Amino acid sequence: MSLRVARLLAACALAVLGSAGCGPGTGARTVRIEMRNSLFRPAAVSVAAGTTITFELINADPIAHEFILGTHAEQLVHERGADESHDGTRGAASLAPYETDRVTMTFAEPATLEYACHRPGHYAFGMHGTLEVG
Amino acid sequence: MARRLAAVFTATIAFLVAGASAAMACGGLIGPRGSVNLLRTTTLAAYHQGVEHYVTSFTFNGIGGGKFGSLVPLPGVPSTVERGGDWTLQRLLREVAPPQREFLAPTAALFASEDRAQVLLETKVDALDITILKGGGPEVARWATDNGFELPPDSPEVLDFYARRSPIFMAARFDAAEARRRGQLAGDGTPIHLTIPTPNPWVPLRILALGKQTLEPVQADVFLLTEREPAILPRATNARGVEPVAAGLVRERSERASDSLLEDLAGDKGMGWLPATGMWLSYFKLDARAGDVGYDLAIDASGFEQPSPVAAGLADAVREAARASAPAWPGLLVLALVALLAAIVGRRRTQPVG
Repeated sequence: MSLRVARLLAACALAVLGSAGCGPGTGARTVRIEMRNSLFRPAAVSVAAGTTITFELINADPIAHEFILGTHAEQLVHERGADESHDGTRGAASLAPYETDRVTMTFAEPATLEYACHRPGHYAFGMHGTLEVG
Repeated sequence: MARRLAAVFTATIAFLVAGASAAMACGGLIGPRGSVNLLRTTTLAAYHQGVEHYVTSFTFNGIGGGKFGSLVPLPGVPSTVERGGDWTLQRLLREVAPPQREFLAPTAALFASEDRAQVLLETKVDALDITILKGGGPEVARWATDNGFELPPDSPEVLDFYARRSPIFMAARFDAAEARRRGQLAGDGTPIHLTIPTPNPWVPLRILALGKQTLEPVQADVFLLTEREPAILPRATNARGVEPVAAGLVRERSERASDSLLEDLAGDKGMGWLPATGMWLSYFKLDARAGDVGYDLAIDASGFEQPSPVAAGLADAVREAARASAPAWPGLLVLALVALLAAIVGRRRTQPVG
């Protein structure tokens, strides 16, 4: 009986770790971010300074989206910009409908950043999230 | 069902818009190559002998090198799509004069061609390219996106909202070059008349809020012509009843259509189907915040006064309300049974084994 409970607890712990995308003890972490109905899920992520994060991006919508990391001020600049694509830009990706992509970044210093989509109207619609580097 | 088939309804319109100001934002223009907008204008939806006649006008709103468009959810597959009459909409506006205020310009656009959505019909009316599509929300959105048009961020949810009820959409886009060649100027309208056999027409209103911020205004004039006074759901704010209220929707007119109106309308191109007498005119004015327009207009003109909550887009709300008001006794009964069983089991265990 106690063995079954232990197995169950172990499975739960693994599941929790898996859902958080933790890489065990390597200073690296994977965070899965889904774009659905023009919203980011999750809309808030916290990581420790010095961690290398790989964002697994999933566009579950039939329309294109972007994932752009930056400070709030940088987001405002993007909001006024006119770039067709951000592929190849550090900390950014443009995703066609139903496309997936990965963005890897190392966050050395504590900071409060945003990830956002700047397709027309998307940011104002609420398509942005917060990344806390602590 | 027979009642439904015998019913006389009316339905209307919808437009898909996206903010022109957003065209300058990072990620692309609203249209593929230009700066032409489609503006929403007045619409008539009439239902006579099982056929919906849908008349609206697309307004050319600029001069540019590109194409913009609109997407309209439809209750069924149109049998014909043709140029509308020259004065039908204007005559209806005059009927409810004093002269109409200007619409705040709902901005541009959306749509386009192909892919997994099925193209049922393609035609050209003046400088307008019309495509009738069949597909779910994702397919229609994908079709538009694949053709280079920017959809507003709420489009996945809104298109799904409509596709669950009817997978038929009309995409209309102006060919700016053709419009210029024809001498069309900004503000010129092109009326479109769709003939749609359907037992279940409805008036899509929620789509008018597509691409708008929550507090932005949504304004529309909706004319209905039916064979008798229709019942609608949700009810207008100035109508009595217990049904949910349509925020911002006011019934301005509800009266037997005058003979002069019917005569004038019947004389217009493509309006020969209209009876000379016995039609009911309803005129609704919508003036609401985009965030409040989460409904469509379901109409029952059969006389039974049972407009469909599903057609009104209220099915979920109705289901929720029913769930909330459902009596608690089934749950309590289950709990009581469980308690009874537990008591019986406990009693047996405590009895001495003999």
